[in-house]
Amino acid sequence: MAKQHQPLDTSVSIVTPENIQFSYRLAGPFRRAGAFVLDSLILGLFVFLLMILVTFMQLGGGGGSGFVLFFVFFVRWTYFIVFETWRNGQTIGKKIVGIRVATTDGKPVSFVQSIVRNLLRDADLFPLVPLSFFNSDINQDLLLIPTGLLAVVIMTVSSRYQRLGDLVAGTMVIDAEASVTRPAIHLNEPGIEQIIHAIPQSYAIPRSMAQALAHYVGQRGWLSQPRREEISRHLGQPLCDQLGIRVQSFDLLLCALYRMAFFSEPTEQFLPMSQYLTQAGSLSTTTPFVQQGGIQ
Amino acid sequence: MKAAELIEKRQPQWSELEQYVHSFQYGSRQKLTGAQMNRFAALYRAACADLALADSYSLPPDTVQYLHDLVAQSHNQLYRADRMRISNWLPVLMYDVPHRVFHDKSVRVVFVLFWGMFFLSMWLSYEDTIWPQFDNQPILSDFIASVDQMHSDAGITMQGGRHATLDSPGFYIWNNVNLCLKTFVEGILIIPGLVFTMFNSYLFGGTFGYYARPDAPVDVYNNLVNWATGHLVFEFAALILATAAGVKLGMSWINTKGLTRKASLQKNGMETIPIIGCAIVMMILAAFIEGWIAPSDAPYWVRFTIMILSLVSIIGYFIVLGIRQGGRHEIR
Repeated sequence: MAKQHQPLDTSVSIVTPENIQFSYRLAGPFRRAGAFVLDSLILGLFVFLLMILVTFMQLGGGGGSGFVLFFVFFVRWTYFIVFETWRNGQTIGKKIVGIRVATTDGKPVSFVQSIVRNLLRDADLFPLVPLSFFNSDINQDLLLIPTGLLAVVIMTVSSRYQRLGDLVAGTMVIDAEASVTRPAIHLNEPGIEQIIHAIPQSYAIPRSMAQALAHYVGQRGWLSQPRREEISRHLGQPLCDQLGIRVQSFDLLLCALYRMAFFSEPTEQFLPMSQYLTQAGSLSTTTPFVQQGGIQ
Repeated sequence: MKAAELIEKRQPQWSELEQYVHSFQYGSRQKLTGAQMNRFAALYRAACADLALADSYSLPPDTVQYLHDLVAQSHNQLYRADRMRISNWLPVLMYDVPHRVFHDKSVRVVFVLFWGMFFLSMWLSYEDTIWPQFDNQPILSDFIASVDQMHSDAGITMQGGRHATLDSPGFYIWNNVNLCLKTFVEGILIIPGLVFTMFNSYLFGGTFGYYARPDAPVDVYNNLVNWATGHLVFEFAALILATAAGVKLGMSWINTKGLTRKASLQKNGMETIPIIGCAIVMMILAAFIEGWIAPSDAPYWVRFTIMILSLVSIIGYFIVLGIRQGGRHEIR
């Protein structure tokens, strides 16, 4: 028997101790790279300010570059670990980008896991390329630029977009932005009620169709009327044939089915059915909308 | 019940759970009362049940996605990571770390390779008859020349003398610990890590062998021994451990011992942490000795005492404590 694959590889399912399955959306390489650049800029700014401070201290006969190097080292190695452990997997850069580190079973990252994944960051940044590789005029082979190719390659073959540090620490980076919900969309276009009453009461809307209808209704607000008709015809036409009905607008037919799937029975008064809907065989097969050339 | 009714009915509870999650993310959970914690857990369980029944309720896809996110974020707050407690780490540091390091095959292999190469290079450089002009090999001769320049009396005078400053440990910590981590990272690729470490042992062994000869300049020999006596014990031990940690991780990718590659990496990754941790601590100790003691006017017996204490502490921690059976405390 062929193995069932998930349709999308940008989410990962977790089964909780309560035996509930939910999914995390994974953060891709570009968002992670953006967060890393932001964190690097923050660290760079810190070092810059520290160097200014030390320069003033030296002018006053105080400390020297050894202190700067010590603090740069200290901050570089503790920034990621401290923030990820105490801010529930989020550094400042990750917070801005809207991602967080979590364990592969969906729990917050622990102190040791954070140490492991950040210790291996340098390995993930391999290979290092000298600056002269990019510009042959620069005769400076000591300044090595991290390419991060190792991380990119491992992320592409990992099912959870994990770099080497994540694989070893048992962590992953997930989308931390909460999606917003809204109540089911109330559709009050004239004509919907008549279509609902024309559809046989015995017709049960399959779940997959209900999901497709919800997608369509969620998006139709962005579409022009001709475009709605063009799209809805692909489902509306076969449905009309199956149910033995005729409608002025396939868009309204899908809206009516959406109402049937997600709402209780309508209570409002509706217009005479004949204005919006024709039963197959009893009325003209040519609807006003089609006469206008709305459906191509 | 139709989906729209269900959503409207559940919406206030979902919003309340959202507020709890938000307050946990940006505030402290400890400020909540027991009743509030119970309420949060109850709301989480209700959201889990809604998500489990989403398919049966035929909820719209965006509502299902919202529930996934809500449950995921609540789960993330409900099951927090264990806080780091020193009391948890004490048995790990006293039993497990020395036990693991002492019984680690990678540490033993790198230890033998490092000191094997060191003493071989030292011997070949000292006994000029076995490999004539061994000390004139291209890179070794340059290294000896640089040591000669740095540690001759004239060289020290030109550098303005050696002074123990507060800056020195900072520079050495930056330089040496980064070197240690670089060695670890290269060790993961196995060959580069081993080559780097053995090349260093070849250079240092060759240099010490050269200056141990009767015909070597006496002032450089004395200054070199004065400089090296205090800190090289910790520095070499740290270099060996860092390389071994990297090699251990690299080998776990190749020789999985029946595990999947990912499981093998995770298992060995956690076992590697104490080794690289010890290496970093020893590098920092070496940096303080190199920054404060090595350039000072401290008499030789002080440096020698520090070397003996360093050796005793390494032997005591890794061998005496390591021989005992470890407590198998989990490193978290």
